[in-house]
Amino acid sequence: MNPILRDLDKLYFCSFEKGEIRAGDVVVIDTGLEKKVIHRVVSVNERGIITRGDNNYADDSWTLRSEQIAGKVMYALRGKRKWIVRGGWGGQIQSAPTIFKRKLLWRVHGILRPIYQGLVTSEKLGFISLPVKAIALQRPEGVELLLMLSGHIVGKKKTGEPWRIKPPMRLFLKESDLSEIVDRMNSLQSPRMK
Amino acid sequence: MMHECSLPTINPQVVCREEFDGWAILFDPDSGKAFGINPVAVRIWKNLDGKTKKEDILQELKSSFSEVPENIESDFVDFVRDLVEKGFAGYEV
Amino acid sequence: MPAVMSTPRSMELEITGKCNLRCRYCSHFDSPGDVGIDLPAEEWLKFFEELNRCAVIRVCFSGGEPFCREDLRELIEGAVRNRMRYRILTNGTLISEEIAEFLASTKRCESIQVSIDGSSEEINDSFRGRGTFKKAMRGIEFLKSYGLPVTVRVTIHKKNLEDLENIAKLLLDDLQLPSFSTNSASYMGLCRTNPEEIQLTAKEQTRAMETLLILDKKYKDRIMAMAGPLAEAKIWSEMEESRCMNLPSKNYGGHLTGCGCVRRELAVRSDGIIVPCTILSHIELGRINRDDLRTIWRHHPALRSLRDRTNISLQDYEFCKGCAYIEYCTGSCPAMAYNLIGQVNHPSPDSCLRRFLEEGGRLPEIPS
Repeated sequence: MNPILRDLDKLYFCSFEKGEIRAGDVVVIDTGLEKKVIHRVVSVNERGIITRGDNNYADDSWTLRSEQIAGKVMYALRGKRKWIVRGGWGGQIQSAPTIFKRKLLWRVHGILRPIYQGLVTSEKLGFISLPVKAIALQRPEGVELLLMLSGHIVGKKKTGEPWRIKPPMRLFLKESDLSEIVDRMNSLQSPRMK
Repeated sequence: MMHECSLPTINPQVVCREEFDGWAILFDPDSGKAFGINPVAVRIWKNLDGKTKKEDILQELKSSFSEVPENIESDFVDFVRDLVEKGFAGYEV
Repeated sequence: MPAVMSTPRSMELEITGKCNLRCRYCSHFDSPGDVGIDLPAEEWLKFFEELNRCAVIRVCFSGGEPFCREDLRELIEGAVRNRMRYRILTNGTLISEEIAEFLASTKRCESIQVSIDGSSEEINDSFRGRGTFKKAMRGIEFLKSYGLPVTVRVTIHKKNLEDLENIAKLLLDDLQLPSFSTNSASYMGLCRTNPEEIQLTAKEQTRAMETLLILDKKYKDRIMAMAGPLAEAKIWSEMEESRCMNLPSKNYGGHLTGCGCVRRELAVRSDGIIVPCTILSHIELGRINRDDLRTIWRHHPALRSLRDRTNISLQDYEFCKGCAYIEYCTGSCPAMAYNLIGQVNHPSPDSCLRRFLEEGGRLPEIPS
C-alpha cells in the first residue's frame, strides 16, 4: 500500500459494526494466518468483497465475507506524523496517483519488454561495436569469464551457466561474439588455465 | 590475443588495501580470500594491466627498489602464477 | 599497539533506526544513535562508492532492524557492486524464504547474526516480546536451508541465566549451528530504565561464568565472547593468575588499551553521521557524502584522541588507586565507561575485577 502506508506504520482501525464496507476503504483482512493483510476494497457485490493492494497488478485471489474483515483503517502514524487514511470516494481519490502510476508502468513495461527482447534477438544494434574484452579467471568450480567495458564489469559467465549481462549492454553484443569468447577461452585452456 | 609470454591482467573485483610501509592485502570479495603482499609485489600488481610487458615491469622494479634480488624474475613468475591460480588475476581472451 | 590502518577495513552501518521489536535491554533505542531519521537508499549507494575507493572490504548492516528497510536488497546489491562483503545483525523475525534466497544468491554474505535469548518461547519472549522466538527460529531455518552462514547472539540477563545449557543444546546440538556468541545486557539504551530487573548481580554473574566455562569446555571453541561473562571469566582468571605469580604486565597493560576498534573500523548512524562506533554515537565525526571519509579517518581530533587513550595510565585514576590488578588491566570498553559515568577516557566500572569481587563476585575455577 506504499506510499500511503508503509511497513512499520502504526495503524488505527475500527470495526465495521456501524458502517458499511465501501469501495475505496482500506481494510484489515483476517486471512486466518498469523499475518493480517491491509488492502483496499475494489468492489463490493452480492458474491462478496474484492480487495487489492494499491501497487498490485491484480485483485487478490480471494472473495471475502464481511466477517473476514477485521476493520477499517482510520489513521496511520509514522514516526511523529499522523494522518487520516481516507475511505470510500476519498480513498479512491487518495490512491488514484498510485494506481495511475502502476497502470502506466505496466503499459510501458508491456511495450518496452518485447521491443528489448526483439532488439536483442535481431541484433539490430550489433553494428555499434562496443570495445568489450573478457578476462578468464580460474575458480575452483571452473573458469569464470568477466566481460569488461572500459574498466567496468558488464557481464559474467560461469562454467556451465549462460552469460549474465547487465541491461542494456546485451543490445550491443552479438551472440556470435559472445560464443566466440567462450570458444577462445576453451581453445586456450592451456596448462596454466586448466 | 594471448601469447605464452603474455602477462595476465588483475581481477578487477579484487581489492588492494595498501597498509603500512608499502605492504598491502589483496582481498577477493567473491571468495572472501585474502593474502598479504610486500611492496615489490604491490608494484607488480599495479602494473598487471594486460598491456605492460614483463621486461618493463622488471626494469621498473630494479630502478625503484634497492637490493632487488638476482632471482627476481623467477620470483616474479611465481607470484604471477600464484595470482592466476587463486583467481586474483586472469588472462584476456 | 597495532598500527592504525590506512583506511577503515570495515564499517558498521545503521541503515535504519526502526525496529519491529522493543527488547527490554535494547542498546539502540533511547541512545544517542536513536535519531529518528533514515537516509534514502541513494545516499547509502553513493557512500558505497566512496567505500569502494577507500578499499573498505566489509560492511555490517545493523540498526534498528535492517530487514525493516524495504530497499535492503538495493543496498546489498550496492555493497556487492562496490567490491564488498557484508554482515547483517538482525532479530531474525522478518526473514522470509524469499529474503534468504536473495541473500544466498549474492554469494557475498559473511554472516547473519540472529538474536535468540532462550531455548523456549517463554524465556526468549520475556524480554524480546511475544512471538519473537517462533519467528526468529523460522528465520534461522530459512537461512540454514539456503546454506547461509547463520550465527546467534545470546544476551545474558536475569531471565535466561538458568537456561544457558538448554540454549547451547538448542543452538549447537539441535540446530547444528557452527557456533554462537554471548554477551550480557549492558547499561545502555532501554536497559537503563530498569537495570535491576535485567542485569546480572555479581553473584548471578559468577553463576553465568561458571556455567559458560563448563559449556565452553563441552562445546570446544563453539561459544564465542568478546564481552560479557564468558569473556570476563577468561580475562579475569588470567589477570588473577598473573597477579598471584607476579608476572610482568603484557600488551601494555595498566593503560586504557581496552578498545582496538578505532584502529580498524568506523560506524555510521541512520542519519548519515559518521561515528567511531555504534555505541559511541554521541561522538559526531562528520556526515557521509559531505565529509571525506579518508580525511576523517586520518585526521579527526576525536578519533585521534580515542586512539591515544592507550597512552593514559590507569594510575592516573582515583578509581584504580591501590588496585592489585592495575598492571594487567586494560580499562575495557570506552562506550561502557561513557554510559556508566559519562566519561570516555575512564576505565569501565562494568569490567572492573576489583569491583566485581567487592560486590560478592567470585572467580570460577576453569574446568580442566
